[in-house]
Amino acid sequence: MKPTLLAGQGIAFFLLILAAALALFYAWVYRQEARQARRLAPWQRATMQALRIVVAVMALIALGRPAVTLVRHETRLPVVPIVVDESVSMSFADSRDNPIVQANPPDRRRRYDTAQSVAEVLQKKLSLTHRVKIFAFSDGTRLLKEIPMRERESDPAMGREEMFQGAPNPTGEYTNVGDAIGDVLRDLAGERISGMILLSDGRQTGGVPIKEAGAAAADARVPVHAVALGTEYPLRDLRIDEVIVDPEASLGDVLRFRLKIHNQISSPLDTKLTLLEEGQQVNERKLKLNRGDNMVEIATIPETEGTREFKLKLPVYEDEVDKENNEAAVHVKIVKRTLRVLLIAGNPSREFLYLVPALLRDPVVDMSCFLQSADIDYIQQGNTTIERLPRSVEEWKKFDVVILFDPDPNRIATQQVAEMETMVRTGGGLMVISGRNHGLAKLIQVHAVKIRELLPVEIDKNALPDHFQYFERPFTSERTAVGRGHAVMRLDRDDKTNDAVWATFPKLYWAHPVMGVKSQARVLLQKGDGPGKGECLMAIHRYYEGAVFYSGIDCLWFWRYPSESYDYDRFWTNVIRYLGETRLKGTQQQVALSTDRHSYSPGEEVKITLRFLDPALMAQLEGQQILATVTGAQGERQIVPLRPDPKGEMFCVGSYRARRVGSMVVQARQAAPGGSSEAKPLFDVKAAFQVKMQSLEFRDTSGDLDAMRELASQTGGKYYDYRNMGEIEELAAAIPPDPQVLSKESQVEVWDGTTFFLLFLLLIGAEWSLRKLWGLL
Amino acid sequence: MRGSKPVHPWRGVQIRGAARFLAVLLAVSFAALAKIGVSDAGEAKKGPAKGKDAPDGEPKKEAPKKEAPKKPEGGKEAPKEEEPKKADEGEKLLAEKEKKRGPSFPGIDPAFLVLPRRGERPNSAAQLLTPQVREMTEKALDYLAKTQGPDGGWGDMQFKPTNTGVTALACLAFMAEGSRPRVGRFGKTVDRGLEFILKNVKKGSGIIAGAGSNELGPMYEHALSTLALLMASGDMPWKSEMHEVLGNAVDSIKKSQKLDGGWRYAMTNQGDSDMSVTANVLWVLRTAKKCGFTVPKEAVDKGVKYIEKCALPDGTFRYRYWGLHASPSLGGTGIIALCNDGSMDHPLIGPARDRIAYDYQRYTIEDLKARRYFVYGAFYASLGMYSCGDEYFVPWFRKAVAVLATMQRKDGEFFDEYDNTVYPTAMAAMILQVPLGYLPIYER
Repeated sequence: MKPTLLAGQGIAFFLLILAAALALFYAWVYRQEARQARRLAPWQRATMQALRIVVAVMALIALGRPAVTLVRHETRLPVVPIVVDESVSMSFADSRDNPIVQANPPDRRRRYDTAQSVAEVLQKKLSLTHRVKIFAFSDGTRLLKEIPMRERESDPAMGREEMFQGAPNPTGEYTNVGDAIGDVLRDLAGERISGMILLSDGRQTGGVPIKEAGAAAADARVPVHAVALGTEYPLRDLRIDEVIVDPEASLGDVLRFRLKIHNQISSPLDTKLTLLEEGQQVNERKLKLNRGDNMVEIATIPETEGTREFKLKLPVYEDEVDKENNEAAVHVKIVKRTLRVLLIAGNPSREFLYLVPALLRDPVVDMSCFLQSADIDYIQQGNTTIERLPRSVEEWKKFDVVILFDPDPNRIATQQVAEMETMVRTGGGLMVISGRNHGLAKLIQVHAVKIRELLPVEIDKNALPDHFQYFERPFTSERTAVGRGHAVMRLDRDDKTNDAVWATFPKLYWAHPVMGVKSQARVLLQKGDGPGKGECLMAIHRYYEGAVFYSGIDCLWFWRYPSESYDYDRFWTNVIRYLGETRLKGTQQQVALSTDRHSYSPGEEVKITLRFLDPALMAQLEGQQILATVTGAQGERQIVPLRPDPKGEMFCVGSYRARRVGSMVVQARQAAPGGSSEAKPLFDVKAAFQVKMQSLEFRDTSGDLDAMRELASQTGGKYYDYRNMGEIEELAAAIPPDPQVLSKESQVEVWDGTTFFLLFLLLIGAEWSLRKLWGLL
Repeated sequence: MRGSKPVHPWRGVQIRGAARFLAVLLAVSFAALAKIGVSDAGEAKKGPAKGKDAPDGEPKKEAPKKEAPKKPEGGKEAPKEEEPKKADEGEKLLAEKEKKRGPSFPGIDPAFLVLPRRGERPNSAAQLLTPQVREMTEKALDYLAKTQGPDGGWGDMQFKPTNTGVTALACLAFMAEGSRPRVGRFGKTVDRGLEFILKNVKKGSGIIAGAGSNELGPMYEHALSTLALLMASGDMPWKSEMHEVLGNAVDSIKKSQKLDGGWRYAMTNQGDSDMSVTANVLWVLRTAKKCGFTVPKEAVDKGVKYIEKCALPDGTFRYRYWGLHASPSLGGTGIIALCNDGSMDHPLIGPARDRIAYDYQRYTIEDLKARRYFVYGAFYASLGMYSCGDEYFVPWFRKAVAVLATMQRKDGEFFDEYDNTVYPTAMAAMILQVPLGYLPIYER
């Protein structure tokens, strides 16, 4: 019994006064009655007293509000929510190794189909012992179906079509796994959840982090059984992500296509790459691709002028998520052009005898040789024969590259040197090879002003060659750090092979002495040992819009061993192209402009990188402001400053925030410092990218199996993926069927009943009636 | 020195007068016999195998037999064959394209033979220069260095005391090592040798031959000396007279071209020519053209025509066009002379190349060693086979080295049947150093 007399101090006080008043009143009444009661018989008095006591007790009881608590117990089956991911990524093909996938017909092998199969299998078992609720989620969670209980195995179970009637296909734009777990826990609050079955690829694209949701489930003692769909690898796909090729190429020269191929078929994948020119196969290459990104190269030699369409094709494999991305087409303008090279040699040294055929062998080089010591009626060698040296700037400009090989300074006029300097200044290339015959000191003495300016090195004009000196002590030559990375010194595309090739070159005996190197010049090769160790043997610098290459060695033919003319020719090819392409293409071969990706969503940051392939160019632009322009489809432009890499790497970077949707072009164009305004820019390079609305679901098509595994482990649930999916039925058995016992307490106030009230009335009425009957009133 | 009167290739057989007609007839008969396999007197039994000749008269190219790798004599193991390094795709394509185009002589009056570039980085040179070959070379060069005379020149058993031709060959052997006048390991030796040659330049005539020259005439000495000076001319700035000396030397060669188009020992345009001297002279003339000297095309064309007349369809060459039989040592000279015509695809080059390849494959080391003027023949064969590419050169070189290894004496010298040791050693040293690729007389 619980006393409820004093509900509040005010009321209690009022009731006390009232009770006291009533007591006084009744005391007075009974005192009055007592006089008359004397005439009653004792049993009558005893009856009256008994009635009054009982009534008073009942009143007191009523005032105390006595109550009793009643407890009622109820048994209910536990709930098992099956939470199915209905995001778009569930429409991707599931793992071929998944036994459930293999059991499904070919048109039902999506992750979502696997999820439906698993849900169907599990609910068949669980609906006998649990209340099964099917939820679907993407960016929100909704109850799809409550599965009716089945008494016996033989009772018909609900089919998958009916189960997933409300979500036949996955269409959700997001995968908010964490939100879904939280939502289900909230929805089923108060229910006994034996376990939550989560069917998803786990690739979360928004909402509460899975870890946080897992912690909430663990707190609620709800084990989350994670059934991961998909694989840790992205979808089976072989695609060409990027094709890097010069927009313009020379007729008859090698046209190289560098491709970024993404392989998600197998590792390794033996496949082939086909190159077609205007629909005709021109090359085919066998490839062995690793999983993920691979850089490969394929080349051809275009034989037709004009804008040509080149198609690069990879085979299409079964179950590929996208069969359209296995080929790419690019258009390249094929132009007939050659590098006009003028070789001016003082004497027919042994280097000369090897150099001439090396240049003649290069298919892009149109060489004219001028041997100064030759007979007066001698027909000079070369693809294009010349009878005399150029005599005007126009004549010099007909050549892209001039090689001055230990020239006799007295057989070339100062005016001619000045014209040659103009040719280099306006984008031509010059190679100066020193030799023992005349030497550079003599050249400087005769043509001091222009030659000194042109050379990337400082030469002592008084150090004339000592012809009576013997050179019997060999020295090694070594590439500098700049030289190791420079295109000219690259005799093999593979770094290790390149180093190995350089290591095979024999020692040399003679090199032209050098006093120093100009500040903006870069040394590529230096003496590796002996007296004068570290002295410059080869250096380059950019000279206004052109470039000058210096070689202090006149016996590069030593490099003919061990690979005969292979590396020797390649070196000369590199030098000539480096110097000549400046003239032909600006310097765009020496820079590469790129963005970190090819497509972005609005708001994302586009990282722009301008990579310098030529350290001499980087040196020439030191302190210059380099800008990139981003132009949209509507012509809107934004200038992006590119800043040198703080770590000193050979690139400049800038960033642009993608705003508008559409195709964007980023362009970097730079004029030579001090160059003429009407001249070609030093470089003018472009790169394109797309800004588009894109679903995050497609960004990574792999399943986040790790996240699913971790979730299961965090909450004490089981984990399944394509490897153990065959054992999925065991999951139903592992979920405990213990029923939920519900206890209900209810309080009944004893006085607050009809019986009590009627008894009270009866007793009062009896007392009042007896009093009336016995004449006490 | 053996025999009472040694006969050297530089002193060809003299057949004069009425005997010529008979000789021509016999030569024709021998040429016909050669078509059915009798090719070389004394070696007729070992001639090309049956069926080797194609119906069109050109010998079929016999696939070289793959022999099991042998341990080289001397007990040293040959280096392991390395996997060819991965080639650049573009380079490979260019090489294929150029291979289709074949060798070329670009220009109006070309001097440089341009062979197609390689598709892959070759490793044959490193493989060919085995420790054994290097040791043989070192010994040979040491022998040459030791035998240099106080005047800077070299002589030989038949060419005493010193001879410009022998000196020129010795200088070329050192140049093949990589030395240049005053530069390199043998810079001083080369310098002294060339000084000797220059001292023997006859004023007025421009002929480069001194005492000890061939009795029949100094053309060999003159041609070889001119060749050595041409090879060094761009690296001897202290010799201001060099261009003039060489100009005169070339002029004297031009002047002594005989009416039949060839050259012979005597430096006069009178008399008959022989194939060996003519081929050497043509070779020198083309080298002179490379070095900036004017060489009339007609002179070269006439010389090449003479060589063509000496050629037999089976790839051998007669010493003289009306000669009775072919000399096996002239194959290489034939190739280098014929490519002066402007191409490596001269119809006679293929048979000559195949013949040399066949000989070196077919005959034993002892057979080859026993040949007259083996080292001389091998030297010219090395020049010819090198230009034909590794396919031919590599097996040839291996066999040639095997033969030379048996011929080298304790002091490093090689010899011929007349006990000459300097010029054979110089020639052998040049052969052994071909893989180095440092001597531009070897063209590719």
